[in-house]
Amino acid sequence: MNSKLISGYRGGVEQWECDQMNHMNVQFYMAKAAEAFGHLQNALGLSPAVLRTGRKGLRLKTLRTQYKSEMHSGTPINGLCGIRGLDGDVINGFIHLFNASKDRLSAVYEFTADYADYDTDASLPLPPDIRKAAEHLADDHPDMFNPTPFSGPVMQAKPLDHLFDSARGTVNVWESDPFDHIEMRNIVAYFSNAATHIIHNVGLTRKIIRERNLGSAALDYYSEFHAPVRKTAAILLKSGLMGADGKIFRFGHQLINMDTGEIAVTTTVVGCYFDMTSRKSVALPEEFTNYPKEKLLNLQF
Amino acid sequence: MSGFIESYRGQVLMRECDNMGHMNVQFYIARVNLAMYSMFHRTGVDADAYLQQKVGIAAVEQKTRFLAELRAGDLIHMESAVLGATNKSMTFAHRLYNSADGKLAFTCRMVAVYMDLVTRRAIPLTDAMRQRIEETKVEEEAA
Repeated sequence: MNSKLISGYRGGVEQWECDQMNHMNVQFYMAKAAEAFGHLQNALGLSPAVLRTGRKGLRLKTLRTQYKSEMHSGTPINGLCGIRGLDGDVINGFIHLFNASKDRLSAVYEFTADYADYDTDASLPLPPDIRKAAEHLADDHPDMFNPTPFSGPVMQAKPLDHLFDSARGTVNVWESDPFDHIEMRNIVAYFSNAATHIIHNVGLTRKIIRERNLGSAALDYYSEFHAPVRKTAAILLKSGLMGADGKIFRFGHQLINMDTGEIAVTTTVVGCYFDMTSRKSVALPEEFTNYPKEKLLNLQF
Repeated sequence: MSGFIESYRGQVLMRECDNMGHMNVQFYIARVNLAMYSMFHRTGVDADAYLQQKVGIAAVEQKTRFLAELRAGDLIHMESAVLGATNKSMTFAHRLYNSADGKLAFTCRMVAVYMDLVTRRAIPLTDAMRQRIEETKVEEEAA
């Protein structure tokens, strides 16, 4: 193992982390990656004690997620992370989750993160010791998969027509981290909860999906974090179809902090449908490809 | 390879902490559960075994020691080893550490039986499992 790789997660897929597609739900991939992010911070000198005392640390600015292969209940997981480089005061890094029994890459997270005050949310210059540690750990990691840049249109943080409400809730105390921000897992949970509303919006129901023996899977996410989401905030997720062609659909999400009215997170989701028996991707349901073109969000970008 | 292996690595979450301001005891055991996925694999009982052969493992005895507090945000990892086996059971040792300072926070000695998931009865270990356990086990004193 490259000495600049950081061991970030080890565990397994619990039965209750699997959804109706019989695979680990995206929010639990994120939960494990978030724990790995803690170990990465520790490797930079931002130990839990330092974070508690100083209340400053790394904060995600962007997050690219690729789901490479399914993981099922009982699968042992291994997580590795690393720093690819620095761009001014922004750290570029990655977290990989592997199916440890098959040594197969299952999910890839590529992130950019700045150094922030966890109370005021102000972005701060990287402290010299953290910068030095990051520079020491920085490596191209040529042996580790590095996805090509996210391509195609990206969801925008501005008012758009043809968005619909896809999830709504409140950031509960038990969904928050020690600094009163929503845990990353729970942001992804909103995207997961939106999936069924998206199905309804294009004219499908769960009954139809079951009759056709179909499942859906996220393949690629790209998220941008624009504003904090704190404990007890009211949340509204608005979503819209950006495109649907062949086997691939593209959806956009805006996670809105209703307390402030801010669009806190924008996410573009690329996904597909698959046959629940063969676990192979299939052509998109015609309800997707017949969706009115004038309603596609891409036209407004 | 013999001895202890890393079987779990993660973090203490805010929602796992109780009104004492530390991780509640139930979540220590949750980490043992997660660590067992690595130990299942080590002893030859993995996800394929549950699904295809309908066999699995059930805990029948645990002896635990809570040695240090863990607080929200603390980074933790567990090392585990197999100590030995009887006709139908295996014994494991688990050690949970605070990753930031290396302090031992929790230990667990656990006995688990190999079971048929259809009859719900304990069954004898396979020869392959015995061989893997023999190759990887550590002595009780070392645990």
